[in-house]
Amino acid sequence: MRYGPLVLLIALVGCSTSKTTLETMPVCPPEFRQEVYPFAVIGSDGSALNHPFFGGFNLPRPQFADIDADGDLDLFVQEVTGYVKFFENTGTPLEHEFVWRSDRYEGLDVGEWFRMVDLDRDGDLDILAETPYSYMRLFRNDGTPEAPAFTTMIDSLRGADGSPLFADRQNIPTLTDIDCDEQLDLFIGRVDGTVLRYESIGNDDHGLPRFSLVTQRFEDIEIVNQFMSLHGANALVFHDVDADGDQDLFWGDFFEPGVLLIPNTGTCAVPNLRNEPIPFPISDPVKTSGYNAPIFADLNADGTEDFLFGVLGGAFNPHRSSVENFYFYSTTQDDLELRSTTFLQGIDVGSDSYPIFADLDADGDEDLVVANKISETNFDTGQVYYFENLSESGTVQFQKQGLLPFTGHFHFAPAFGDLDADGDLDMLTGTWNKGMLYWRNEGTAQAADFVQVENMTVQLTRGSNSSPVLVDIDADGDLDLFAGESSGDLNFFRNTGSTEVPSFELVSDKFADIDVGRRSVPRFADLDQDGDYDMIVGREFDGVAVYLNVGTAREPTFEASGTLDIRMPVYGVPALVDIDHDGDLDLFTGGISGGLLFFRNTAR
Amino acid sequence: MRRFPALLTLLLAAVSSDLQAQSRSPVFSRDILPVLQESFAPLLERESGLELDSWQALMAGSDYGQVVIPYDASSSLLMRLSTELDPSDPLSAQAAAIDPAELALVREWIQQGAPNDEGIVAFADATNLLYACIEDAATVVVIDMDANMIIRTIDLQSLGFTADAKPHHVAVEPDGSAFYVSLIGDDVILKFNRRNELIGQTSFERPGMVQLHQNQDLLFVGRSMKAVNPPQRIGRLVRSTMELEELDVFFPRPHALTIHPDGQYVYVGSLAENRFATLDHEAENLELQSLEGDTHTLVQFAISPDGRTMVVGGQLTGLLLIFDISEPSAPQLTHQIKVGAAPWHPVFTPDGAQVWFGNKMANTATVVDMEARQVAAVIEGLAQPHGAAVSPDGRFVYLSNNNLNGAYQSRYTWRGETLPGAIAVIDAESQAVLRMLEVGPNPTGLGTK
Repeated sequence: MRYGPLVLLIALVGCSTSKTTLETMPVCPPEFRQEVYPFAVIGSDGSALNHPFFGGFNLPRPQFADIDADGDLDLFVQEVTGYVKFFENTGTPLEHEFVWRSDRYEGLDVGEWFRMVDLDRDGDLDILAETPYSYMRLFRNDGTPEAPAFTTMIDSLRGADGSPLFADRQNIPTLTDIDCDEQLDLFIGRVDGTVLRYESIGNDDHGLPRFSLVTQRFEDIEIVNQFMSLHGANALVFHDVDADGDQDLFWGDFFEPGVLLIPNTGTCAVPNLRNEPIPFPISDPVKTSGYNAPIFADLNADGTEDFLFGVLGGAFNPHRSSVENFYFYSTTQDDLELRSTTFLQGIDVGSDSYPIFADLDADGDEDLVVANKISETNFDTGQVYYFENLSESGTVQFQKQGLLPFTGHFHFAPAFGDLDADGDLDMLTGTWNKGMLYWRNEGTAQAADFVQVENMTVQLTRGSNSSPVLVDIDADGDLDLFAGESSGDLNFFRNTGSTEVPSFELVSDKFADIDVGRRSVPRFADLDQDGDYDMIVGREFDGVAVYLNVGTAREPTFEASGTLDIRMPVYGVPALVDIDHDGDLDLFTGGISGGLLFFRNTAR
Repeated sequence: MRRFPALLTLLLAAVSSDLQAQSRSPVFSRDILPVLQESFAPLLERESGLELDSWQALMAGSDYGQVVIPYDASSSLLMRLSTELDPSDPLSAQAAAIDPAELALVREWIQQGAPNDEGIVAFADATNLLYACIEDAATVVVIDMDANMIIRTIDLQSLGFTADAKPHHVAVEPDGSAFYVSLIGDDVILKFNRRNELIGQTSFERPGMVQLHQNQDLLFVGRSMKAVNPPQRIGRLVRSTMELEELDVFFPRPHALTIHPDGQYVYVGSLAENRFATLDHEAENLELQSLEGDTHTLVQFAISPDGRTMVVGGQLTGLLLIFDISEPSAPQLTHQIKVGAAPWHPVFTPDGAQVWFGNKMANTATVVDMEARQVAAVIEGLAQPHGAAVSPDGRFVYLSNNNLNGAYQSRYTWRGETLPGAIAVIDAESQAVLRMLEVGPNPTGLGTK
């Protein structure tokens, strides 16, 4: 009998069976180190992905800034609330080379948005960000331009009258000196399509900048009238696109599939933005699912700013932009040229990525299968991607081979195991709300041909997002079934059939009274090297829960044993595999953003 | 003298007061009435129908609505005229002439409930109440649907919530014993009793529409727009305990929300996808239904009294979609009616014959004949109408007007840039706008029992 990799007894090194610290930490906490570039992953076009395990983007809010004063622009991208990813530019001003450094730059909590700007005019970049909900917080840079050190200013940013400045958190503000008076102006788009303008009036006694409201209707801009809507959200930025010495306004909006340019036809000192919005780029306006967050940055030191934007997903179906959502236009002599819709290239299957490893071609190594919630092109189905393991001579390498032929359901959640004892891997796949489907492999171990056995669908008693795993939990020689679900409970089905003909009988839909919160995804491995299966459970928030088996291989008893010491994404889906063949289990995880994160087990 | 409405008389209730308290407090006939008649009368010249010869007459208001809101001096027209007129308004000179001591006296009297000489506060027993969220003022106003006047204001800041709390929608218990308000800005759902006392609250990220379950102790809560990526879940709250759990709905930005009268199925629409969901909330089974054609951006549902028909407006298409829900688990789209720009919250009349809703970007309201499945009337003169409600007897339709675009012009010129909102009171039969009850900025959701 062959089992899927998650049921292999691969022990973690250095684990103790002591139970003295179970309340707060796993008995044998593995030491994981996050890596974005652990090995090569080849894309479907044959080229290597430059950031294979960056985790994917669904809502990228990018900014560029030379945070270390080395003359080139570093990249900061917010994907989820509160976190900013940091990619250091290790290249040159002429040719950028971004390298991932952190998923949470300097540990800062930026709420829903951030802007890097020298607010206190001391020559280094401060960070203005949202403090939940919908107010503004300053992270003042008390370091140097070369070595920033941010101090969290505890209070909200306040106006001249002392009241906190408010910006609906879905509207991303911007700052610039709009009238060349050497005072920063702050602009906040509002849900009704108008723009508030504040002007800096210096710092208060605590060194916090103060802004005075200049007008509630800056230049009488009212974008909303064009799109006949008031359920809006927007992202603003100023940039002198026509090099006439004044700042033009760029506007992304929930109801706007493109980016709008509002040209400034005034002067630097006396701006005039009372002009009709123009879709941008003018020669070939972009169209996405909407709610685009534009920025400009000179990425090749040619003296002109390139145009980039993140797609946050507006009224026109955000699933469409779950993969292609970080656009990069470079400036040419006369125009802008679209260079990429995925400025950072990594594994990204859309949203809610669900990885699992299995040797699908019987070549002795673990291939990678990654399912998603929903296709970015067919909104009636999820998808299952296949990445073949092409490792040779100790060099790990995967290549994206395309889609496995599964359609018609959302949230595929595959599990593999030989359920009919014919020497090849069959599949049980969870779905969003249609139970767990059994697919018998009627091909070979080398070339699978999965055929659904419709009368063997396993249903949950309630809820959705079934996430199965096959494991011989009672050591009787056949594979039993555990399944997570949307509520966070666990379901246990014992295989009361045989190795040839499985029959899954529900034992409990609240197994061991375990409730991990929401979206439970169980996985099994012998974490403490005592010869039985322990369990880890992915979930929506709060990382990977660990349950050590304090019973036996035949009669397991799971005991809550803390969490793995890693930062899991929302809707984390763990997958354990010894990818580097060093005898310990490494961890991959999917998540809401559609990519994968990799954590190398450094115990050995 | 104008007759004090008999109905209002019925709504009066005694408020306990003792002689000692009365000696400290302003007494209407002794302290207030003379001041009103002498100093305030010139300010009120545009308030046709208002008479100042008695407490009853004052509390009955003018042809435009209330002049005094008990316990809320700052929102009472009487005080606003005295303190908030723009200098360009000709009445501002009269306002400036009022003795500050008299002003303070009247303010104190209103803050104490504006009682009559016997300590009676007007509208204490009003039963047909309409609650209106005033989003940019962080208040909820209470309207007596018999008198069609604002009778109370709930100031959320005085209860500890922020100036940006943004009350958005309201749902009322069938017996009027309590009501629930979603606060978008403060991420909380509040529960008030009929005396407008806060008796419960529950955290919920970016709450939007709220809907009562008709026969279970449940309240369902959707999401507002105000987050970059709000959770793709709705809330199911136990009203008696205010305990809340969240239910997945699969798609982003679940906004439109209603419950079938049978109580089993909840309908949820997305602002970001062209589809909606039918949720069997007990089985937690959800089915998606895609809509063909252009992106609608579904705003809000309404279900007919007989439970057989559901309507929802498409914000971007200007269509009213009509579904046959006689089989509640599988709504069937039967009609699409062009109704003008941005149809917002629809409401059925009690007999189910008509659906009313505002067209937010057309400054109109549409009346749809549900038997003929066609537009019966378009009502002009509104200002970004948002929420909708009907009085229990079906006589009046109420539409909140955001008026962020200034389409509604106040009878007065107020200081500052902030535009007032208004609650339109419309005669359902004649379709005439009877009153525009001026409220704070950006009124949104309405709720009645």
